Amino acid sequence: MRYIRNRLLRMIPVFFLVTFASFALLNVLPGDAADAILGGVDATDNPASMEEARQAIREELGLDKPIIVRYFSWLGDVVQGDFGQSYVMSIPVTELLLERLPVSLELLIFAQIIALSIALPVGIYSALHADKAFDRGVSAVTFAIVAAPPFVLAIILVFFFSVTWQLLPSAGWVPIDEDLGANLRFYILPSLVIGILEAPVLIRVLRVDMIATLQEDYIALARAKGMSTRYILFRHAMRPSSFTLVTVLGLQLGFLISGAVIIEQIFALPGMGKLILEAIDGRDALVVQGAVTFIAVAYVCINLAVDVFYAILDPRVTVGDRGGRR
Amino acid sequence: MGFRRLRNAVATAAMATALVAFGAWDADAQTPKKGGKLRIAILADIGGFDSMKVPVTGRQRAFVMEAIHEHLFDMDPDTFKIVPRLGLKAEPSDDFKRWRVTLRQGVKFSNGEEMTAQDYKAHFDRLLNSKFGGRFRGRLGPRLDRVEAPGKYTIDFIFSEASPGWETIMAQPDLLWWVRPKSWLEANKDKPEFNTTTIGVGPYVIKQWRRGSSIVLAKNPHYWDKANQHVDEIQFTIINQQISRFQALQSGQMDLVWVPPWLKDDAQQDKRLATSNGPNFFAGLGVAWNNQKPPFNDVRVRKALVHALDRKPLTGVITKIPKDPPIDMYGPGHPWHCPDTAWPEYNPEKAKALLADYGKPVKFTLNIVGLRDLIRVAETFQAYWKEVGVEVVVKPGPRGPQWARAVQSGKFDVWWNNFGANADPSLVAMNFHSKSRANIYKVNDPGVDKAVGAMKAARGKDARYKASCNLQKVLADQVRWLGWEQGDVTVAMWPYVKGLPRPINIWPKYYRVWLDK
Repeated sequence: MRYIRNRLLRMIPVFFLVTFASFALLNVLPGDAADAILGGVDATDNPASMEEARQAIREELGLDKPIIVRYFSWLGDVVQGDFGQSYVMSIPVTELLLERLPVSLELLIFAQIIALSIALPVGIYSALHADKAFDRGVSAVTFAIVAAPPFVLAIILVFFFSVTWQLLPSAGWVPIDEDLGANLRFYILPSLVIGILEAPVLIRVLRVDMIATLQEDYIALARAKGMSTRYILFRHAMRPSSFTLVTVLGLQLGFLISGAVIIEQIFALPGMGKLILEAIDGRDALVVQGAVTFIAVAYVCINLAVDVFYAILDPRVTVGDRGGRR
Repeated sequence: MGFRRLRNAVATAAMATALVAFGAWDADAQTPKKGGKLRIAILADIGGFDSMKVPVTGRQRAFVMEAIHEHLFDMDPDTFKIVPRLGLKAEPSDDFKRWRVTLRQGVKFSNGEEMTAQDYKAHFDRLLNSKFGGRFRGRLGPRLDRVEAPGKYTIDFIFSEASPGWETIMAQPDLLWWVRPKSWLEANKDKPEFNTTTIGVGPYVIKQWRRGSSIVLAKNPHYWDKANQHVDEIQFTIINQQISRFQALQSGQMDLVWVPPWLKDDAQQDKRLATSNGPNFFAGLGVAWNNQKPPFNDVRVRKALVHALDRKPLTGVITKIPKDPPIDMYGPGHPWHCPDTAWPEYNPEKAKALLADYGKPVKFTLNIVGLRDLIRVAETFQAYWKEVGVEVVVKPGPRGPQWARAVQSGKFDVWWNNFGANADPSLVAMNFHSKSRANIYKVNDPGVDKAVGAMKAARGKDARYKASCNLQKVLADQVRWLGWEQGDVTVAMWPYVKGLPRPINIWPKYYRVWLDK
């Protein structure tokens, strides 16, 4: 408990650092929410009326105040549980985050299921047959996938599954409570893209850890006792080989809450990544702040959960003393 | 290469569908079927329904709002004549400073309230007297001073200067025409959810808005023109990528999308799909120069810069379709197009001679909005100009109001410009007058002023057309602007989508279609 408390306390400076940095960075970017609200301009917009409208919006939103004043005003509201209202959409930020978060979480869960479904059997098989033809083939394929940008795979899958065979929707989203079947159909392609792109990293780390574990004395002893390979793998080798896998999974989970921007854009999924992108584009500082705060907290919590999970994987590990494993 | 082969294979395999489609296409004259859901992909969310919160007409926003609201007048897509809708007739005063519109009686808003002139007055009062008043007025050409309601069904639009093109302007999509009932406005305008819904007299009403994802419209039960209201629902899915939108159409997930010029070719080559084209009522994109600053204050330099450009192939490269370069502020097919306007031809030797006559080295920075396609075009221009000895630096910058501020502050000497909406000559063409508040080009030429004045004074279609073409000729002779693109508008759809009026703007009237499936 003390460890968890300490970890949570360590979040405080992280929170200040991350939120102020994002606030300041957004302030450095050219333009502000008033510009975004006024939108595109053309020759029918005359200079005087545009500037007049811009100043009025800036005053209304408090954008004419210094950045420090705005930051601490926001902070004061956050402490009271109020993340403020989107400048551009005039909607409470909390409402926006709660709308978008389930979309990203669902994508994240399906993508992880797909990634693990690929990585576990392939990683283990590669480790068992290290440096054989299959392992070398897997190495080549995984490096190729890692090197490819996400949109390439997305375009290929959309081309075949949507445009050519018309089996799956190419973009869009339906909430899970409205139509479960349709909801799942919309997630298949984006989840596949992320899953396939994530699997190579998981395969690599699992393979390396598994090869190391299989060279341990207790595995040799188990073999000498005549235990089956399957029994040795899943009873004795899998758990100790999963440390790096779990660490990487944790990091990927944190990243994917907001990091699937490209995939969300291509497949038109209204998730957190898309929200942040739209908010940055609209210089909607309060939405960016709300999202950044949420992601920072989520990252710390996920990593805390990973640390706790270490103890489940290996009872010799004491939480807070990761170095004592070996 | 593999992709192209696959695409061709798909197209070939779909020939049978196309043949069936041709058969069905001829049957446009058949009785429209009622019912069904029309699925359309738009590029971005609409931000909301209150124009005081979202003071932008915007392509996507207008796309949705035009089905919820209705115009006083419409433009016939084939003859370009103004036809009555909510307004039965529009009569100008002798000096064209007042237009009196008689409203159709018995028209109801979607909440069942009757539409009257008071609704128009309340709507315009709210917008024109707001902090955005100057901006909103700027979109309507000659300055609209106020709106009065002298009778229950009579609206007066009162101007500070003559507005001979007002009938046409009333038919153009703009947030100024998204009128809501006065009583509803007064009861709801201060509520937090005011921006999330709206009431109109158009054929459809808001059923659901899922922010960032989709918008669903349902039939307006009180719509006055039921003969033109066919599908039960219209669903807009927000897909931010142009290519993804088009793929959603190809995959059968969408029924209709508008496509940008660079996807027009793909849409027309996909034999499973049908396309419809029309003129885009925008003056175009191009280069604007600060006509007061050297070297652009010298007509020899401006002419030399155009002589140096092989504009015809260049336009094809820019729009990705073979196309003639713009010669006036209206493209071919536009009712105000002047086909006889002559532009300096491609002649590098003439360009060099003019520059030699000018006698000083010509160097400048071409400021360009930092979008990949625009930078590419600017760099092509740069390469052509280099051939005649003009040194150009291409400088990308931010878009939006910051861009406008930089232009208007005179920071730029040459810049990429969106010349704006041009449904009528009383719009963008007036900006070249030396006294115009929107004269960002800093033109101060008695010849241009005279031509603008003649345009303003002209009355009647023929006289106005003649004056407009004369103004375009003066602008071309003096090379006061340089257009590089006047894209038309293309809608791609499945052949079962019937009855789409020819698009004559970037907002096709998709809400009039019916589905034959």
